[in-house]
Amino acid sequence: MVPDYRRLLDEELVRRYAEKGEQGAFLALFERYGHIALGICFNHYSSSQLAKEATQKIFIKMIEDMRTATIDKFKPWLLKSINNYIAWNSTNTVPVKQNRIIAHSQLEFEEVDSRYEDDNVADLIYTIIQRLERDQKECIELFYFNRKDHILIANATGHTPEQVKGYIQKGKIFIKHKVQEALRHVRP
Amino acid sequence: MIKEDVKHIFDRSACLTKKQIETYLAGNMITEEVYAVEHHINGCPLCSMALDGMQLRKDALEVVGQLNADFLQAPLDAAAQPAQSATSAYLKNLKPKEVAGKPLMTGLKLLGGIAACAGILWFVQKASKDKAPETNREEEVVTVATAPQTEEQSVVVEEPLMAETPTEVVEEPVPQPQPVTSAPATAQPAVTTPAPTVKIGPPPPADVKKPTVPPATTAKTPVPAKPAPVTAAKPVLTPPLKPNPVATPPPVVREEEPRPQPVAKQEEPRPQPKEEPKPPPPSPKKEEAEELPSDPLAAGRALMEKRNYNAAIGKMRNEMRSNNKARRQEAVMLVARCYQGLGNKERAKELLSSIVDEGGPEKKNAKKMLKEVDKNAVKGDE
Repeated sequence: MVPDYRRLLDEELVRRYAEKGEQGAFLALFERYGHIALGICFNHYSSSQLAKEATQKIFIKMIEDMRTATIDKFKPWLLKSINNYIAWNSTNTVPVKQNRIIAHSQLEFEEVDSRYEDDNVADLIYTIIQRLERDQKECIELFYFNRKDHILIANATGHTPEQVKGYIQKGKIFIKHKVQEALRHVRP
Repeated sequence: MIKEDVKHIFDRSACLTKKQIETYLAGNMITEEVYAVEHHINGCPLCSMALDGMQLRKDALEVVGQLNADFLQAPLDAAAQPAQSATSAYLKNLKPKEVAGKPLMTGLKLLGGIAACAGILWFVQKASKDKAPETNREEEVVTVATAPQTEEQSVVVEEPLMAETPTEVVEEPVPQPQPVTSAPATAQPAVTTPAPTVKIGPPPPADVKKPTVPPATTAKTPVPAKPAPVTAAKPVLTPPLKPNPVATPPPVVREEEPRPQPVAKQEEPRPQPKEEPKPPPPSPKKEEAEELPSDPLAAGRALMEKRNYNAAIGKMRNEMRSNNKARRQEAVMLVARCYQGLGNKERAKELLSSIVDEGGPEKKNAKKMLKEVDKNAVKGDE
C-alpha cells in the first residue's frame, strides 16, 4: 500500500525518509520545494543553468543531511540549507539587492497559533497596526482590510509593487513581535 | 469586519506550486487568486524570494519546467544501498563463515576417518603378518613337538626362528611405512573412495589431494580435464569468445542500464511533448517578435489591437511593476483595456480607479475609461 505523499505534511515526509528511507517521501518534498529552491538560486547565480545545477546539488546534499540532521520544521531548515550552500559556493554567485536580503532575513515563517484568533488579540493587532509607520500602515490596511493586491496598492500609493511587498512584510514582522511580547507578559 | 480581517493576517497556507507561480508570473490569474498568492508571499520567505528570483530571469519558467526529479534517482539509490548492504553484507559475511566452517570440519572429519581406516588396515595387515610367523612358529613348534628332538636342538631351532622373526619384523618396519604408502596400492578402493569425498572441501583438498590421489587418478580428474577442454575448445570457442567480450559487457551495461533506462524513458516522454508543442509556439512567437516592437508597452498595445488580450497582459505584467510612474500607469491602462476586452470589468474598474486615486498623467484617461466601462456595464445590465 503506497501512501499518498501529497497529502502528508512536510515533517511527516521528512520523518518517513529519515527513519524508513522512503524515497517517495523525499521526491514529494522535491516536488513541493524544488522550483522554489530554484527561484531562490536565480537571485544568486549569474546564469539560469548555474542556478539549476546549484538546486540539484542542494537536493543531492539533502539526501544525506536529512538522515542525520534533526529537523523540527522543514521550511526553515530548507532555507538554511539553500543559504549555506550558496554561501559556501560563492564563486559563481552575484550580489543581490541589499534591501531584498534584509527583508527576507527578517521574514519569519508563519506558525499555527490559535491565539491570533482570539478577539482580544485581534484588538491588540489592530492597535499595533495603528502605531505602524505611515507607509507600512497604509499598505497593510489596503491589503488586509480593502483586499487590494500589490499592484493596485502600488498604483494607489505611488510605491512600486516591490516596495509595497516590503512594507507589508516588515509591518507584519513588527506586529508579530509586539503580539508575542504582549502574550508573553499576559500568559507567561 | 475589520476584526475578522485582522484575525486572518497570520493565516498559514501551503507554498506556491509550479502552476501557481507560472500563472501568477504570466498574469493569468483572477483577482482572488492574485490576492491569495500575495497573501502567502507576505508571510513566506521561501516563496517571496523564489518569486523575486523568477522575475529577474526571462527564461525562469522554461528552466523551472526543465527541472525534474530524474537526477535524484541515482543518489537516492546510492544512499539506500548502504543501509540495505549493511544488513545484506552482514548476512553474507555470516553465511560464508558458517558455510566455510562446515567443509573444514567435514574435511577434517573425513581425514580423521581416512587416517583411522588406514591405521586399522595397517594394524590388520601387521596383525595378519604377525600371525603368519606365529603360525609358522606354531607349526614349527608342533613339528618340534611331534619330532622328538633334543632340547638343544629345539633351542637351536627355536633361536633361528626367533632370529628369523625379528629379521622379518625388522624387514617389516622398513615396509611399515610402505604399507602406509603402499596402502593405496593394496587398498586402492579404500583410498580412492575417500579421494572424491576429499574433493568436496574447496581449500584444504589441495593439500589432501597430493598425497592421497595417485598421479594416474589425478590425470583423470580435473587437472588434465581443464587444459583439455580449453585446448580442445579453443578453435570451437573462439567464435563465441569473440562475441563474449562484447556480450559480457552488455550484461553489465544491462544491469546498469535499467536504472538510467527508466530515467531515459521518463526523460524521453517529458521533453517530447514539450518539444512537440514547442515548435509551433516559437514560430508564432518568432513571428510576433519579428512583427512586434521590442518595447513591451508597444508590443502589448499591438497584441491588444490584435485582440490577443492574455498575451498582452503577460507582456505588460512587468511594466506594471515599473518604477517609472508614467510607464506603469500606461501599462495599467492597457491592461485595464485588455480586461475590459476579456469581459472582466471589475478588474478593469479596479485598475482604473487605482490610477484615478493615485493621480498622474493617465488620470484623465482613466476617468474617461471608467465612465465608459460604467456605461457599458449599465447597457449590459439593461
